[in-house]
Amino acid sequence: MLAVIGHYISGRLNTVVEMASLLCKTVSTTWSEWGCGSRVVRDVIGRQVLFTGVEAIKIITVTSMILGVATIVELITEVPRVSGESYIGPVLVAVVVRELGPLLTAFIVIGRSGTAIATELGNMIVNHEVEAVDAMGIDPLRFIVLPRLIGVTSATVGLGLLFVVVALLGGWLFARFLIYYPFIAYLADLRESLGPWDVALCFIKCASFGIIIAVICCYRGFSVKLSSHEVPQVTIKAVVGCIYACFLVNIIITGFFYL
Amino acid sequence: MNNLLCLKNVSFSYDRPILESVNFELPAGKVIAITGKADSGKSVFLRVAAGILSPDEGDLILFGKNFWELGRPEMMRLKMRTAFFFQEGALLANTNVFDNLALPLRYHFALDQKKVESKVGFVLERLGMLKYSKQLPASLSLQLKRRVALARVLLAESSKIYFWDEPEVMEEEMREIVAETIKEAKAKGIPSLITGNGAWTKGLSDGGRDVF
Repeated sequence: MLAVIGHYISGRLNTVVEMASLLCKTVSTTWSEWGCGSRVVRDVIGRQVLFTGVEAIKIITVTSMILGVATIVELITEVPRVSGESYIGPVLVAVVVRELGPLLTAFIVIGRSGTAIATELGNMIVNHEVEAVDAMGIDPLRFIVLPRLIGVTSATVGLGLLFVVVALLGGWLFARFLIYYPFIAYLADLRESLGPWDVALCFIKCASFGIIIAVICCYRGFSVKLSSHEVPQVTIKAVVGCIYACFLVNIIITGFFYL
Repeated sequence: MNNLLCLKNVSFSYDRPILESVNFELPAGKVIAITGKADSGKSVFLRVAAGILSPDEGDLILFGKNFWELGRPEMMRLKMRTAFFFQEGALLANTNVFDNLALPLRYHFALDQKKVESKVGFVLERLGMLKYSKQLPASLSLQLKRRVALARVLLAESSKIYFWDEPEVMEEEMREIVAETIKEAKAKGIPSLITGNGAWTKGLSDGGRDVF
């Protein structure tokens, strides 16, 4: 029994080490191959930001608006029952800015872009495209992984900040049709509770989640060996792995913040 | 003899051993055919020799350097001096034919659009592929994909070693271009490594070598 658990844990740790190695090798191509194919790599980064970031604006806006409305209505309705009006702002900031905003953004990015990356890279392995890129003397880490790392991370940060803004402002915009909460009072509550550290925490979480999503999905995509039937399997592993990792990193960062 | 490529005690396996303690040398100006029955590991041998697959054991000495002990940038620089023909085509699926061929020119040499169009257009016209230049690989037949793969090799003008994975499967017209390329390279002292079992492949080579 212990041997089985030990084997399981060492297997997982091995995977984490390999993913960390992929991240380090990819980042190192930034300076070790400085200038190589810069224009080409920038084009791929641009396409990735467009797909992960720009094309997700609609779903982020809708999701954040719904979350904002629900959170504001619940707070305004329930908190006064326990005479906690002064906690509305802090709870709103804690829930939307520090926790759910970054996490829900990450889940949307995982669902849209994470799956696409793992599937695309898996198919590239099966069709020998990565071998062809490598044979041309183009480092696959620089040409394939690095643009996705930069693109997904920057898009996740941008989307996370958009999520927070739309949830807080857009949420009030629709919530006022359901409850009475003057905008002046709402802004005052927010201004009192929202500090630079809250925004920094949101930024740090979104950036961390973006890096995690890109690395795990690229790693899983590249783990396809020979057959196309492995592609959906590695995509599922990528999604599940990203979700677990984002939750874990979220707790760790939150823990550091409150220590 | 000046060996541009050496394999020393190279072993490679997937779920079963494919290459076991293989020793091999490729001198300058030689054309060597790698023969063997189907699924004997010819393509794997070629990929290990080209530095695409990393062996489980042994060394690849490419242009006098122990390839797998180099840093990644230097590995990539050595690979730029080789050209590999993939029998499956191995084209980037989300990129049209023109951009597939233009990629190494833009990446390594940062050529402007005019020069890229000139070089790629010339090769595409030679292979009768100009009208397909804006199409994605998925809309091409396998033989057309192989033509694009051949175009990729022809565009690698600075190659010092050619790796040909089963070029005999191509149409006769394309095989003639392959043969011409190999002979021209040989005259310049540039060696080629070809896999295949047919008379055409054996006719091109200076000597065959079974993988096993």
